[in-house]
Amino acid sequence: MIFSGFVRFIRLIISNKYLILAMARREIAARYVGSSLGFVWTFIKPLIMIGVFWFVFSVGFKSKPMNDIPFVVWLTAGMAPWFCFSEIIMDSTVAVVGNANLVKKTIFPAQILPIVKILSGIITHGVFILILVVLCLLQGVPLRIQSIQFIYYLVCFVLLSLGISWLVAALNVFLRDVGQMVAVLLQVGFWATPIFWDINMMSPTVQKLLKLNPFYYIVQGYRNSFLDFVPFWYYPMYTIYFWCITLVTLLVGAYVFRRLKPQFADVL
Amino acid sequence: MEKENSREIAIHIENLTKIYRLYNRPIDRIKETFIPNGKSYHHPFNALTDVTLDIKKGETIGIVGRNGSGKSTLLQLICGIVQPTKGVVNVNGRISALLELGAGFNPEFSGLQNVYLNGTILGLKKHEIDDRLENILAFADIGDFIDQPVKSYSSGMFIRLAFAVAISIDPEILIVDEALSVGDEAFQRKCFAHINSIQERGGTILFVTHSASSVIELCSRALLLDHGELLLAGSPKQIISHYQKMIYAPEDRVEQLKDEYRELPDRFNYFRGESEITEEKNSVVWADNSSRNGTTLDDLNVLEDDFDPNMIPVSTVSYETKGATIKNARISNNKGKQVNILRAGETYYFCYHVKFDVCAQNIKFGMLIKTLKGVEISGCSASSEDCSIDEINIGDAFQVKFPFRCFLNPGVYFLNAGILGIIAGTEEYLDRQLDIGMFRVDEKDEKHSTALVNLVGPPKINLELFPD
Repeated sequence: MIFSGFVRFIRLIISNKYLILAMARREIAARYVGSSLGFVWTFIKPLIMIGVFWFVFSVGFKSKPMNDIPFVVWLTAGMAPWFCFSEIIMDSTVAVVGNANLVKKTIFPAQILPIVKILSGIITHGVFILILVVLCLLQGVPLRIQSIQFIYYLVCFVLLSLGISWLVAALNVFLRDVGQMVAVLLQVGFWATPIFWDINMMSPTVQKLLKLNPFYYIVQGYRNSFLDFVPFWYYPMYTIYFWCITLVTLLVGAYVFRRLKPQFADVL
Repeated sequence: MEKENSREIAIHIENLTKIYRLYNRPIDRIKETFIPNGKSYHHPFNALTDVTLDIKKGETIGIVGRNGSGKSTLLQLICGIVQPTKGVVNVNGRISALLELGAGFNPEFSGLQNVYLNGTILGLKKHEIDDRLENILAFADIGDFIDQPVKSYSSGMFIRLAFAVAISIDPEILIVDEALSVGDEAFQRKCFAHINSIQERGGTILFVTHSASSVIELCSRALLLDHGELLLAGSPKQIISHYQKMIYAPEDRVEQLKDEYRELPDRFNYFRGESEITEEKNSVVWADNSSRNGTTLDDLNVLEDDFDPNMIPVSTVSYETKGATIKNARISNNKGKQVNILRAGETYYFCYHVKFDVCAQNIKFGMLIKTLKGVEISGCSASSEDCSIDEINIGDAFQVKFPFRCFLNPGVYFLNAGILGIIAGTEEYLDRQLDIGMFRVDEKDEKHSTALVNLVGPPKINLELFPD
């Protein structure tokens, strides 16, 4: 049953590929419609954020380089996936609510809405990766072919976020509190995930606990791809753990979305 | 046989029921969906109850009903946007739906961008939209506004563009919910013309409207819904008459009326009167009719050739009386003799008696001539003051006589009669009778006149020699 549902979903994506692409394009265009800088804002936002963190930690707190890697590069590598992840989740809370017109008044497959959010998120993510690469070059961190591994981790967190997206998108239709809750949780998540602080500062017990957070797998993975060049199969247990969590999230998300979808039009 | 049948059916609806669940708190809905302890938190609201209906390919269906009667819910169910609580909807063909003005349009984007996005939502690829773009723009006819953000559009421009996109996919089934009423007359004409072309192509159209005339002019069948119940289905003219009777009836009579409608034989296939007349090619049908009514063929031979006693409308609909009663409606010629087969060019009188049970002032006496399909041709509404009647007392009775020249071309026509008066400050019908009379205009020798009314004579043609 799970398998056939999966096949159906893949078919749906393929048959709606033009629609998904067009909507993702619109999603990005809608962000900047009417602004004169337009797409440039996609660069400005992460640049400012990295700039602020770099200033606070490198200039202010005088953080030392991490294993000979300049702090700003190390930070950016960890922030890139989180930035994209939180954007996808945040946008997904309004994926159905924000398209009430489409869901209620047209013949429209609502389950592709989170996909649209993910796709548009990935495009901004591309910009972030570009900034990361430029930073690496500027700071003298070598780029190697192993860096390509980040695509594996990208797939990892896209699937993780798809499950969560379905869940929050569907629940937010009925309980608008979900949107607020997600915003708070993402704030907490940002500080609780070792993104701008080193997990090695903590005691081994705390480290174990922190690793339960599946997103640390992604942050560590991005750093391993771009900075340390460690392949993911060096952590077999952690990889299995991550995929179990992701699979469960996907199943729960898909189940909740499917159960609630028939009622969307009744409530919106 | 059955297979062939199912291929002809565009939409099959069986026992369709939609019950909305209303909750006091939104969390209750989540609880009920996911916690299987059988506890129920909702109040049911019946939006649509047990509707069974088959719509054949090529039909144009008009749906009428008071507000909240379930018209839009029915359309949403057919589109598959809303899930039925019970029952089945089977749709056979590609649907294009216009349920709300420009649903799926993003106000910040230009018209052109929205055309592409909407086309994609409707399932078109980019090059397919490219191919259709010229037609879409021509149909929408909004000129340079196409490059402006949609938020700057007037609602008329909006609907023009939305309609243009919706029909561009050549839908097999077109579903329109009250949208057309926004456009101006020229645009409505254009839409109607397009709807006609969809009809000719064998497409199926469903639309909800409050405009009686568009139902009568466009539809092959009409549905009357009330409180989620399919009350009547049948000939547009009949359904509209019954619908209007219902909306003009006093509140406390509506339930009783609905019961009467429920008792009607063939109420889901209600074509009373019409089918016999439309199929009438010669007087044989009338003869058939007469023998059924107990008149023998012998009687027919002695009939005067301008009166057919069997030509009595069976589609008469009387509104609830509110103080006046119309009786004894008939047409007479200038010798005072009752007729119903009229000769072109002669003068006739449409007469009725009216008796009042209330005191009234500012009464209007009205009549209307309509075609078989219900298209209104000519009417008259004369106030009591014009007829130098100052006041009307209880028990007063009048004979009303409208003279008219018969400029009508051959065909069958119907008559309405009505008395308008002011009740509690608003003008209402004290009595109204639809299809109270009918008459036929016979084929005549000169055949130059076309369409409904003979206003134009044959042309004078002179040979003219133009000098070089």
